Amino acid sequence: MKEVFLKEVFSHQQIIYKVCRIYRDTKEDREDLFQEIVYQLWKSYPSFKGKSKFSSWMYRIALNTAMASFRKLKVNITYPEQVPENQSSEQSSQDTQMEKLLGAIKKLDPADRAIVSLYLDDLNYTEIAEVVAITANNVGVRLNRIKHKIKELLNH
Amino acid sequence: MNLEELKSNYKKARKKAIGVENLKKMTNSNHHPTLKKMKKQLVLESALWAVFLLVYYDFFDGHLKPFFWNLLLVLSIILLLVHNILGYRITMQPINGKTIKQSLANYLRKIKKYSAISVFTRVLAFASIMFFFFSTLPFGSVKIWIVFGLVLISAIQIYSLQKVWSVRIKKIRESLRGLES
Repeated sequence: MKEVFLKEVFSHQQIIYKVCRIYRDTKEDREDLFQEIVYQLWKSYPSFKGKSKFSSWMYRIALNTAMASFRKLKVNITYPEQVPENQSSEQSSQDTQMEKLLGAIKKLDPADRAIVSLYLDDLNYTEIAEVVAITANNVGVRLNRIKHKIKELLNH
Repeated sequence: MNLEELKSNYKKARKKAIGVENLKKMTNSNHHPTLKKMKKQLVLESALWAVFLLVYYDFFDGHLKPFFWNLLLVLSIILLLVHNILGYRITMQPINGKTIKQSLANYLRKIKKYSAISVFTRVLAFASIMFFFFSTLPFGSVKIWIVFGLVLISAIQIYSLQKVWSVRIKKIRESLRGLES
């Protein structure tokens, strides 16, 4: 069972990475959260019955862990992340856009961060509604509001 | 920037993959960032209190104190240990439901209860230790100052503890409210 689980987590680990980027500011906090999410995924794995996609289930556990776990209290010092020198200009521009997007998402409240991260990873309204327990209609309304907010944040 | 365009970038967001062996290690509580430290602290604290319970009767003249104070001291220390174990279990289980909303609501209920127990056990432990050690001593200005100092230190500790919990509760409550609005 553990081998199947690890294989699935290995192939979907970008989900954990994205959740950590959105919910934590420092590298150390992100690494701690990454470990915590993997631990919680394994503990919750027996409850995964395959009724939903593995990625949706993984998103639910990862977002729940990020929203419920507590950071250590410390002075928060953040450094700008280095851009690798040997990147193509197209790659570098994609990374910059991505950084801007993640920065804008981080400014949203925790619940909106969860909804938009699911949307950006292509989950449909029904799937998002199932993960967070709001109606699909509400997902639509909230996404419109969130998109508007993100556009404003990106244009500033 | 169009959000639909960014969507494809977001989906492609990449990071150097973490190997299966490392992922496997992360499924073990000994590699959990918080649980590992909590476990160490729990073992150390339990050992210290267990030693205290074993020796206090002889070392601190338990037989000279009223039975009630002896009983209260033992009970409050046991409560402290149970409280530590409870805290460990709660930290181990942030997932408490089938949806994020349900899970956060249940978690909020749990930590509210736990925070009240946490403050209560500290107050009780402090009060019983104080009574145990000072109730049979004659009153004098030195004793009053010592008691006053200890009360002050403990009050600050309990206040800080309560503050930590209220910040945590507020954080979960806000996330939950965000999902409900």
